[in-house]
Amino acid sequence: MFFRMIRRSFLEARRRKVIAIMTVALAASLITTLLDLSVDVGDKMAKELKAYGSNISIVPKSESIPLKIGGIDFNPLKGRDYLREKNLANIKDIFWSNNIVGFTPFLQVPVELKGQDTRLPLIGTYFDKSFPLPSDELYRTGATLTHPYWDVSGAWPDDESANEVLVGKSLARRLDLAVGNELPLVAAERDEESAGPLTVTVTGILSTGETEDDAILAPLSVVQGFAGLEGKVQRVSVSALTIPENNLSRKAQRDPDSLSSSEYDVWYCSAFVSSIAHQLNEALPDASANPVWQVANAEGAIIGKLQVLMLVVTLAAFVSSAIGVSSLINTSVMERAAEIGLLKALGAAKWQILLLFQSEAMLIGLIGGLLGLMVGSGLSQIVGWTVFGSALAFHPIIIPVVLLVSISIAFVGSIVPSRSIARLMPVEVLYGRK
Amino acid sequence: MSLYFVSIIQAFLPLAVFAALIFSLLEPTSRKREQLGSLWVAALLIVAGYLIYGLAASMGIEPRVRTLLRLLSVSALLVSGLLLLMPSAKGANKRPDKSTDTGPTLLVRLGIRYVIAMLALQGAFDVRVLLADQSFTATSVLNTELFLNSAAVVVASALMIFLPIVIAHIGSRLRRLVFMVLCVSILAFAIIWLCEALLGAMQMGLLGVTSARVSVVAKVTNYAQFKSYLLLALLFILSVGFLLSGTKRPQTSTATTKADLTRADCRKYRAARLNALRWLAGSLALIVFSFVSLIYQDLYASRPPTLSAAADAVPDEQGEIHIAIDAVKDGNLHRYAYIAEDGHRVRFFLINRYDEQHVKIGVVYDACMICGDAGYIQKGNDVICVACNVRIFIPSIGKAGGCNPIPLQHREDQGDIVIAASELEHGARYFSEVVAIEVIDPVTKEKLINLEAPYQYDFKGKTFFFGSKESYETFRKAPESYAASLKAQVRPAQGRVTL
Repeated sequence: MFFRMIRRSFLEARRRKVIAIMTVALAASLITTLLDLSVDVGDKMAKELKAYGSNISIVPKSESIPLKIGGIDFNPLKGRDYLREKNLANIKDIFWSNNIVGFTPFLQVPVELKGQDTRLPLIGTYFDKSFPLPSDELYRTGATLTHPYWDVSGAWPDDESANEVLVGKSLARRLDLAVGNELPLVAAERDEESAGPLTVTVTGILSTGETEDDAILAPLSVVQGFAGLEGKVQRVSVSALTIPENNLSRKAQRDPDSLSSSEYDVWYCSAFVSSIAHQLNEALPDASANPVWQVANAEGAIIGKLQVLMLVVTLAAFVSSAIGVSSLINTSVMERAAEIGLLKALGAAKWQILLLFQSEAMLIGLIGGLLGLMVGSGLSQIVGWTVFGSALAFHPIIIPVVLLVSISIAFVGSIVPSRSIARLMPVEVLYGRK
Repeated sequence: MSLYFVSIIQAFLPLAVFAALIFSLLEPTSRKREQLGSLWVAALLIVAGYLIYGLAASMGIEPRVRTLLRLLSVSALLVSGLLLLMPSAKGANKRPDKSTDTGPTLLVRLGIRYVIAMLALQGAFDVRVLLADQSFTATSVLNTELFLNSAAVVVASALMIFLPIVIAHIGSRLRRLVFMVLCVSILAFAIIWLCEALLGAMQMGLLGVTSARVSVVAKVTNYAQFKSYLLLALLFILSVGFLLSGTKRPQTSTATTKADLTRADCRKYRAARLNALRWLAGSLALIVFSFVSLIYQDLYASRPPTLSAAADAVPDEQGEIHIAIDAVKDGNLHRYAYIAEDGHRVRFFLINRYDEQHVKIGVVYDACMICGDAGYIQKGNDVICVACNVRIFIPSIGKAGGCNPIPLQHREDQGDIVIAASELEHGARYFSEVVAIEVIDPVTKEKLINLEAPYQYDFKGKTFFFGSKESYETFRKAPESYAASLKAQVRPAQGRVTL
């Protein structure tokens, strides 16, 4: 009986219902878009923080001193201070050394092609370098280990060779380079005596999706010799097997001194990325090791700041569409006063009549929410492409959340009209003197 | 099923059930008002309990506060026992005249509030204890995990609010049964909480530790893990009782048989029946839902990972174990177990650290210097320490340090890995698992089962078992004469040592 009544009443006054559904759908699509963006970044951040592998970046201590004014780095020591290559063995000497998968040093100097005036970055690094340690004579490390997502078409250069290089994808396209080409390089700062001309051979084209796409990558020793910076590196990227961060590691990250001594022991002896970074700091003098959370630092920072704004917009959409739905339902209560009066006269309890109207409102919310979900998912893809330059993954959790929100829009909207149902007197409405 | 959901149910089920039982002893006229009032008290005290935990944890006095809360809860149980004496509870199914019903006295109302308040305080505190190491969300940006956890909290809270309302409605028809159920739960929880308070007092040193006390606490704690199931079972009994009691015939009718009823009376009777069935279905749904989520958590979700089976390692006549490299070079973890002379089960595993072209076998004990003998499992390409969840860098297996497995001395010989049994005997120190084997009393040469031997003695790193006190004493006086052939095996005990 109840369902028959719902169906009948839902098919009545269809035009008004469609308007109500559209109102809810508009709000729902807006909420879907905002939620999709936020959850996409949030899930990526959560995944990064819960991953069992992390990257740690080691730079000279002077570089980690923030000297930013208005977002521009004014640190005069940036790029002028170096780490010592011979200290790198210390990385495999810490308590959690077995969890260090590999490390890759970087040294970047500007070069020019002979006869041209464009500056290019030349990056010296390890590709798959034999790095004998006292504990492991066969240890090898380099970018193949720490940057598994680097994709090379062609061959990786030999770390011991004097003239094999990789060229970044964008740079190769710009200069029209292919595997086997030779490049004559000269130092960009011509007053530097030591930087003699160097002819290198391209063994492969590198695509990383990062700044290396615009650079030439050579074995570290070649770049050191070329720039006269023997035994020096600018930055080391360390890849470690870690366990996900928890409350203890977050506390330690805020302030290692706040830990009690037993907490400190647990933290130090757990393979948190923060404790490994802490041990690297202890092992390398004048260096600063910090975990790299790529998503958290880039997209997370944007969304984190925008979240309050999103919440306000969502709330505004919620309230305005609830008011719209409210006025529509109010009209329908007025129109159907006689019907309500009859129900009351027949002995229907107040809650039964309320249930009828609330169910109808929720049905409107449900349909509106589904429509809004479809439109909103499309919208969020467009926003994703324009803001982050990539498609957003689909997050199933959004479906129940948006549907719940849309239903509660309709529910909240029907609260005020429902109160007038209670005030209706059967005698008055049935007599037609209301 | 989220851990948040289960923890909230476990912590607040006593509150919900005691509230439901007490409410069902009240008259329907005053019940609604009491329920609303209690809801406010509970909400307030839950916030208080939440804050108190934070304060206690930061001051490091958490066990003290928990013990105090247990004692307060026991006092609340006493009060609810006194509430059983209130007039409406005694008058079983007899309803007093409505006009004379002035609602519960002030004392009764205060009693109800006190019970609700103490159990709510303890529930909030317990939830925070259960969830102390959980993170609600990894990041402040909205994410799937945040939504799921919030949903779990909302659904569990709704369950804990609806349960008392529904059960109170059902119970109000079955005063006598409620009386009994309440007595049973008061008794059970008084025992459990008193024992927990006793344990806390012993931990803090307020009470001396005696074997009788420890034995009582251990036994009760062992059964206390089923306390939520006990409560759900009692509620289920109530629901069944409600089903059996049936629906009363309309009271306005003076007729004695169904045929004499007027049609209006018949319809009223049917409506009442339908209504009662709805309440019953509601209560059963709540009980079954709670039960299923609890049992899922206990039987499935909280189960620790199990180690893969270990092959038996039996030494040959030279006291050596040979394992062919070809059999273990596939990159998987190959686990073996050796039974030491004193019955310790010594597990070790072999794994190829590189690929099949560059075979380098890591030979290690299945135990860690830091985490003890919980062991390692292989999941996909990762080797994971069960105790601390650290992923082990596979090429580093065989090297000491960090959470790496303890290296095991071995040599390679004609395509075999050769491990000396004497080496594995040393490793018995790292393992706590002991299996029953036959040993020989060195004095009387009598055969014994190691687990049943009444006396044992450690000499030069080897454990000897004795069948009687005399032989034990004889051995202790001159151990060298019985164990002369033994070469010294003394080494510092490392890892977890259990004897």
